[in-house]
Amino acid sequence: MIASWYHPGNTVIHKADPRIKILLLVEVVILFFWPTAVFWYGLTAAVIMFLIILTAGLRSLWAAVKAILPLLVLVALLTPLFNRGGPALFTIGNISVGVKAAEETLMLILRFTGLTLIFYLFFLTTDLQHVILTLRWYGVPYTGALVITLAFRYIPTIAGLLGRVRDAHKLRNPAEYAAGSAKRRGLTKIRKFLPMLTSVVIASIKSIPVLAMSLEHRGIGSSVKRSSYISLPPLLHVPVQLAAGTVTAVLLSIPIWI
Amino acid sequence: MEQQEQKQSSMAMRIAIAAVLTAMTAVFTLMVRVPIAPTRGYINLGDVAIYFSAFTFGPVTALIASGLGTSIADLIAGYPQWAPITFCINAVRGLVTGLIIHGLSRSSKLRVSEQNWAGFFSKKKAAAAGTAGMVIMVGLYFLAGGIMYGFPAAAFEIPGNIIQNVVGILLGSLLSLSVYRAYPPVQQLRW
Repeated sequence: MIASWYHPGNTVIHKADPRIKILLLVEVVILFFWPTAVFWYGLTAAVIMFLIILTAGLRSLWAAVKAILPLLVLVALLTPLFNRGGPALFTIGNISVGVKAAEETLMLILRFTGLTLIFYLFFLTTDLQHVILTLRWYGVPYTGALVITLAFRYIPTIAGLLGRVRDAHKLRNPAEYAAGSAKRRGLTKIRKFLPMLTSVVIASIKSIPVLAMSLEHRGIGSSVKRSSYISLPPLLHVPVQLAAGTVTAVLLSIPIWI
Repeated sequence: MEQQEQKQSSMAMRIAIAAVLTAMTAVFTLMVRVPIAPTRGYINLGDVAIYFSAFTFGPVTALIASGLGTSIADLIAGYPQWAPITFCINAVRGLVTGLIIHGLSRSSKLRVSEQNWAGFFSKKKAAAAGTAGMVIMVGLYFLAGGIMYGFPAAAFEIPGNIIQNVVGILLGSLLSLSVYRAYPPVQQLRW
């Protein structure tokens, strides 16, 4: 399911070490919250947009922006109403928008767009396996990483189970799922889900002992480890990437020091 | 030797419980998605899974399943920028809700068992724990949204989040009760 966000490619960003990418992501997030000139927000957002176009194309960028567009419109409409004062930039009816309000609106729009796009770029160019290995490298315990991995493995299983249970309930009680019943409101509509959810939950819970047994057979919890995650190469083994990452980090920190 | 085997079994069981409930929370979050434009995204049944985990499995399982499950759902649904925030907020919500409902049970000297389940799971306790969870979720999302894109726009999310929580508390408690009635061994999986 999550594979849909990863865009396989052979670009420099795809090949970059995920540990360095995560550090840069954190730095960009800090930058977007740093009280600096709006210009830097705009420049950083523009660079991220450019990188998304380079790695996955214009359509991917549009898909990411389209998802947050309604919220950006809301921010553009509401923020000026709550930020009065300063010289008026323009007036619409009785509402005058000041320079300060326009700047604040632009800053919030660029911040949210930049934050969205940097996370989007990261998951666009990093597959799940490397995300988990990176989390392990940064100190997430083995059991924690295992829970995440197993959860991803079980999502399609439970989603499939849900589909089958829903179909079975439709067959047993077609009137409840008929077109007319959609008009029902409030609790009646919500309670319709209860029998279906109960079946899904019980079927899921019943799979827990089987999963636990297979984990035990693999030696999970035992003092003698029988399975482990592969390790990412030491950072010093990727000197070019380390140098490039350091230069990018220094460039990104310019607005913070100015 | 026996003690070590028991420890191994217990660890494997805990990992299995956390993984399955995390996956279930993610599926519930993604299953029903009513868009609430122009806000964060959609009303979903993820809250039902969160409250169900807290009421049935206790604070630790709720912390893991709620935090991980909802943030995985954010990643899959295309809201990756929310994933770290969602993880923190929902993990705290799961933990606090679980602690309150199970803390309240301990204070009244009740335990989860067939005999006292109805007492353990009274409407008042579920309402108190659920309300605490709702306050945490609504408040922290408002704060996070306000910092990211301004408080006026973040305020637009409050009604949707409250509705989502109320549905989650109601359906989560009913689900907890019906699962227990239909499958009593579920109480042995609490930790």
